[in-house]
Amino acid sequence: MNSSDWRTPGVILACGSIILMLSLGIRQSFGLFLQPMSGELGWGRETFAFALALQNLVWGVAQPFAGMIADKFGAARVIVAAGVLYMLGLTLMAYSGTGLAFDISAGILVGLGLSGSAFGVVMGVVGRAFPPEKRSMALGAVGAGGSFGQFIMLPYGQVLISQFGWLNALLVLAASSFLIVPLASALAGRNTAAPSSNQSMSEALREAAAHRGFWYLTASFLVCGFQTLFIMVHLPAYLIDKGMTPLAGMTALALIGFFNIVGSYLCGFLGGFLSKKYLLSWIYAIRGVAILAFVTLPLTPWSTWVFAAVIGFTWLGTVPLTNGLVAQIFGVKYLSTLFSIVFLGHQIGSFLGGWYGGYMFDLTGSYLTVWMVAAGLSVLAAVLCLPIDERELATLPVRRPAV
Amino acid sequence: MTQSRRILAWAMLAALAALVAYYVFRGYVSADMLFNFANSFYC
Repeated sequence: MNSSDWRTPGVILACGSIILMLSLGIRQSFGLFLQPMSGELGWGRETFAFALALQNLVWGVAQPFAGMIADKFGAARVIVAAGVLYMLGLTLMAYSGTGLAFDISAGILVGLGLSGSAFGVVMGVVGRAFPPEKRSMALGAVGAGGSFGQFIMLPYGQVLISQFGWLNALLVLAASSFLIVPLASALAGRNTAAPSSNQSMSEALREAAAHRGFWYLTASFLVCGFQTLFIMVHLPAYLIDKGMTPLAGMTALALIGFFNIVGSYLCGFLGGFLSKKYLLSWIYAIRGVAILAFVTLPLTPWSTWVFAAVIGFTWLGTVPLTNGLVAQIFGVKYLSTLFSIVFLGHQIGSFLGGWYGGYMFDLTGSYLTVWMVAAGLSVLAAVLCLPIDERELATLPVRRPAV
Repeated sequence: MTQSRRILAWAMLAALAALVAYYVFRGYVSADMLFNFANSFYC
């Protein structure tokens, strides 16, 4: 029996899901530390918020490089390094006495950890492990693992803080993140996809850069990042401003988390037999309608919960579809690299969504403008997905060998 | 795996998922989380 026989697609999927669950889930709980850390260390909100904004940027900028290294030298090495950096970042967060130390730990180290252990690298391996007809469903399933982590880690983090205090809670999370390291062994192995293809990485990058669909996908994913981070950061404040109770608001966040799991899997599943670009277009259109309805109709607990369910359903559903579309058009050999570049667009959108929401609120005293921008961007993203040529480049006449 | 065992396995998995979802939902609306919601933001 070959020593790598145990790395079946099912094992890769299961371990990839748990890695995403840990990397995305732990990060999700960081907001809970604002109150206790700021209170004890005498920081303002800005210190905390800046480090987390930096984390998003570092994650986005470093991920293409992490993807390139993973495609060239194997994903496991990248994931192991990322797991160590993640753990180191969380440990140093616990002992950060100054804003600068917090920027380095929570911002740079955790950001680097995320770049190597989140979507781009893990989904690249999962995408290669499954045949095209099962790939979208597998990407949906691994995405649902990440969504599940986001859903459960928030109350888990709160329990840790309540039971052990914020410092020890961070150390427990650091120990939890270290599980990423042994799990990476399931994703080991050189990138042997498309052995008949002699395409180099620079050729693949040039090919993607010359494909309009690649840029349409990147732009639509930027919209996704803008909307999700704006909603995640500013929805609680919006609901409190509108007089909603914390119970109604927390229920809304739980619904987003729960429907995110269902939506991630279902979108991946549907992408297995329906056009991915049309599904993406529908997701953005549905988001736009949901946002418009939410801000124009009277705000009640039920309207908030319906909005949360719809937004949650479409939250990470874009990820398996966007990743699947990149794999479908450009092949899986450089999937981590190419998807990571598209994901950089997502992170730029995230930064803009978080920042612009706060900026406009300070300027106008209302979130209405930003909601309208988010709805308008939905229309733009829905339209941008339509002209994407979904055909596999390798099968197009221009790439066929002369006969 | 026979059809009946497959159905049983899926039913047990669904029950486990429902149980986890229930406890996680309860965690979301715990007093500490509600306090945090009223005083914090998400990142």
